[in-house]
Formats: sequence, structure tokens, C-alpha cells
Amino acid sequence: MFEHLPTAGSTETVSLVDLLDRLLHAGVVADGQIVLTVAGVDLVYLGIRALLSSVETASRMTLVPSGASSR
Amino acid sequence: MSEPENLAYYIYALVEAGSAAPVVEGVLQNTQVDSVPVGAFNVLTSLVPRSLFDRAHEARKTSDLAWMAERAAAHHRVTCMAVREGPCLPLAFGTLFSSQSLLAAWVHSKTEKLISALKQIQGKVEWCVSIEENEGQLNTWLELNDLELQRLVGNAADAGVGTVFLLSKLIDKARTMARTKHFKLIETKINDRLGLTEWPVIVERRRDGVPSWSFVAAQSSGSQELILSTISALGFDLGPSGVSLRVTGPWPGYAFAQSVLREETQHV
Repeated sequence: MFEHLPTAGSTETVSLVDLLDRLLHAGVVADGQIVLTVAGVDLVYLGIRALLSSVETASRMTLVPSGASSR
Repeated sequence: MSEPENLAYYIYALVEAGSAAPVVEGVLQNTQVDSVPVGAFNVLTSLVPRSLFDRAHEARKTSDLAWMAERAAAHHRVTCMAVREGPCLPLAFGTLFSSQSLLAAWVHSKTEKLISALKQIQGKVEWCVSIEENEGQLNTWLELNDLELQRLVGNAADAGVGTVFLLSKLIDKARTMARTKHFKLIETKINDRLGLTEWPVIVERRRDGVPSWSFVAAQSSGSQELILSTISALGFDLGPSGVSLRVTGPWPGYAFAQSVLREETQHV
């Protein structure tokens, strides 16, 4: 299912590792940015930080089939 | 407004008021994406069992990398579809609200900032430039170009076994310093070049301190060609030292959204 992850463009694709790097490493999330904006209220959030080291591991595994590509 | 306690609203992005939801599977299998009016915007959301995500819940699956990877891919597909339909401010992967009223409170508290951000990202996509290194080639280049490293390596070549051992420690240290110095120069060069463009640049750092650059640019083939040629020209000079630049994209405005909301963020 990860062979051709789309991009915001029309024809390009990105790899799963790039995506995880983007969504996790690039820090779009840090245990849920929303939690923080409304301190003290009952929000749910992910414990993503523990996964960060796994992303590097994943990049060494063959999570991305050879068909996937990035620019 | 009351919601079932076992459900939560998974939020993908903010889009313009009146925008339809993209027809694509949500973050979980067999979940749909809804476009819910919230204040001046519509919010793309799916109702999900909070137990899967809540770190306090035994059923959470957030430590399962394969499961998370599928969720990340699904999140990304939704935001990509949304970007193609119109301005889209992607929220953090893993953003959940336990009720619509809390979501509305959050949106209302920063409406002006979000309107401005949505306007800025309209017609734009995000690109990312990262540094990749060929360790062997880089080390060889450093030994040829860093005088201190060159001197130590030269001394080691003529030294006895015991001295070589001691020198090896100094060489490792000198190599690390030379690499840091080289990467600093690369960073300055890239910052200077990107600073000449009209793209607002966001610099992020890996845990080892190596930077990457994100910027939003017009969603057009002309803009894309300019970006690729600019980065290619920058990378050309770095090649002999075993360092290359890698461009990925176009992405939804992930880093852009983070930068807009950064001041709201506290780590917990």
C-alpha cells in the first residue's frame, strides 16, 4: 500500500520513510500540539515521541518497496 | 454538545468554509472523512475510537510502528487530496479532540492567525531540502582539505603502533570537528542562497544537529522547475565532498503549519 504515496502535486510520489520523516521528525507533531493550546482540558493525544528513533530504524528496513520514489 | 466518551475527533486540516470533504478513506480503515463547519473554517475530521490513540489506554497502538505508518500514510492522503481542492492548513499528525466544543474553542481562540495562515498557503505547496552524506567520501575529502586532520593522518602514517593508537583518538576528534565545520559552511551557503528567493524558509534540525530546509512555493510547474534547478546548482558544488542535497515534495504545508502554530506548542 506504500508504493506510491501521493504528494500535493499531481504526478510525484514520496516514500513512506520520507513521509514518516516529514510527519514525525519534522515535528509537525510533538505529542499533539493541540493539547497544549488549551491547557488543562480533556484532550487525547498520541505518544509519538517514542517513535522517533524507530523512524531511523525503519529507514534501514525495507519498508519502502523499490517502486516507491522521491524526487 | 456531548460526544460518546469512547470516541474522539481526529483532525486532518483546516480548509475554507464550505469546502467539501475529500472522498478518501480516513486515518483508520473504513472511516470516512467529514468536513465540519467550525467558526470561519471547515475542519476535516473523522470520528475514531480514542482508545487506539490515547496513551493512557491499554488498547493504544501508538507504539506499533507498522500501524502508525499506515495511519500516517492515510493522514497524508487526506491532506494531499485537500490541498488539490483548495487552501489547506494541515494540523499535526495525531491531533485529536475529545469534543467538537473543544475544537471550536481552539479554533475561535486563534481565528485571525488561522485565517492569515490559510491565506498564505493558498495556491502553495511545501518543499523540503535535506543533506545526505556519503561517509567514506566525506572522510576522504576532509582528510584532503582540513589541514589539522591532514597533519594528524600524515603523522600516523609514519608512527609506531602505540603512537598510532594515541593519534587515532586525535584523528577521530579532528574529523568530527572538520565535519562540523564543513556542515556549518554548507548550512551558511544554503541559507544565503535560499535567502535570496521569495520562499519563506523554515530551518529544522535532526537530533544530530544537521539541518533541513522547508519552504512554501507556488503550486506550479514553473515554480517547481526553479526550485529543482536552484537546489541542483547548490548541490553540484558539494558533490566532491561526499555531500548531496535531496529535495522531497511537493508536500502539504506541514512545516508551515507547524511554524504558524509553534508558539502555541508546549511539549508535554
